[in-house]
Amino acid sequence: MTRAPDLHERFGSWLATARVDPDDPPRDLALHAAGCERCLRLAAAADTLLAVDIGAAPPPMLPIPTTSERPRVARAGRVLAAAGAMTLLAGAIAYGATMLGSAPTRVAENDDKVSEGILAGVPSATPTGDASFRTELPSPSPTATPARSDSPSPTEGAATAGGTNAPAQILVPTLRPLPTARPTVAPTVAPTLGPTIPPPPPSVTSPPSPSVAPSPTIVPPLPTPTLEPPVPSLGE
Amino acid sequence: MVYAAFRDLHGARLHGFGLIVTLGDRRLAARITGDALVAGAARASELRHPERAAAWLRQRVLDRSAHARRRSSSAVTPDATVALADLGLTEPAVSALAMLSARERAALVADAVEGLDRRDIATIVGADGSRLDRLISHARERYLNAAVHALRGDPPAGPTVDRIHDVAERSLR
Repeated sequence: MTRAPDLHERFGSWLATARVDPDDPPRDLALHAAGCERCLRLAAAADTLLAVDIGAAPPPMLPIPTTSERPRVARAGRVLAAAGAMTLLAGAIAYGATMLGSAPTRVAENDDKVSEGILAGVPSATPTGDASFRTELPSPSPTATPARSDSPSPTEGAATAGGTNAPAQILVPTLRPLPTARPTVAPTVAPTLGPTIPPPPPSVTSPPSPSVAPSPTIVPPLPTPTLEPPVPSLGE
Repeated sequence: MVYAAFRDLHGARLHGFGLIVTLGDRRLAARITGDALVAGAARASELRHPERAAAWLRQRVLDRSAHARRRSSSAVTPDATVALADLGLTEPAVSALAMLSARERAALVADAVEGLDRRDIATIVGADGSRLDRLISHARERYLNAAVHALRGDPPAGPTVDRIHDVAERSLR
């Protein structure tokens, strides 16, 4: 047998479901609540909500400028970011351009010196050889890096030195007698070039190796040209 | 222009709603109400119906208040009590509202104070059907029980109390 809901509970649920302007309560509930302090308190609690005047507060002082300021700030930020990106890009391009422009000229200058040293007595031949060499330089240079890693540089250097012309072998004996060059060059160049010189066949084998790829490897021995002024003296 | 119209039409009541939801936090209420009005004015073409617009604005206020005020809302400062008293909320009412969550307060105010349509309340609190019914009745029950404990002395006269006496008298005649 289920107990009928208590009048308190019924009154409480009526209040809980009643809205702003509820219908009158059922008679039995009204009769009960009129004499029940607890239920009257509940009704009074419900009245605290009805006493609220939600429009009594003034409208908020609205931050109108926020709508116009935010886009400005965002726009300024975008402009700054774009300017920074452009500056970085321009800097990178300029740097790259200087690097591209300077590297071949250095090699060309050094090559001029090398060729001058090698072909010291033949001024007319050097310009033609250098011109052809200059034109070939840019393209083989990328392939030069793997060529360096493939084999130890000394052999390649020797091969290339002889690869273009036999006179490159003449360079090696010129290095040894130089007293000033030894401290810097001797540890690296002299031991390596020495063994390669005695067998002239390397100069013969050099032709099979690609004549273009190793040529950039000449660059490491480039410091030698500075030492070459004595070369003619020795040759003489 | 649109913004001024929105402000005139919804500003005061929305601010009151914001004050109750934030439990009298004037600064927060003004900020989130202002943001909601600005956002509503920007979408004025979509919010032509005043009641739908009111629901949308209140939903936004509730959402922003939930983000801004994550801590429990049990502590009501004296300034907040004064701010809520300006709306007609007595001390028992404030202490009872403090027992509810912001979502429950929003549902209770939209239903019992503002008398909004159910679908608008559903928009505000993000629940509909039986879930919305449960939410409203649960919020109201909790509020009443808390307010009863906060009331002191004889129960004050009010519309509901007066109506009960009237019905009781009529039924005795």
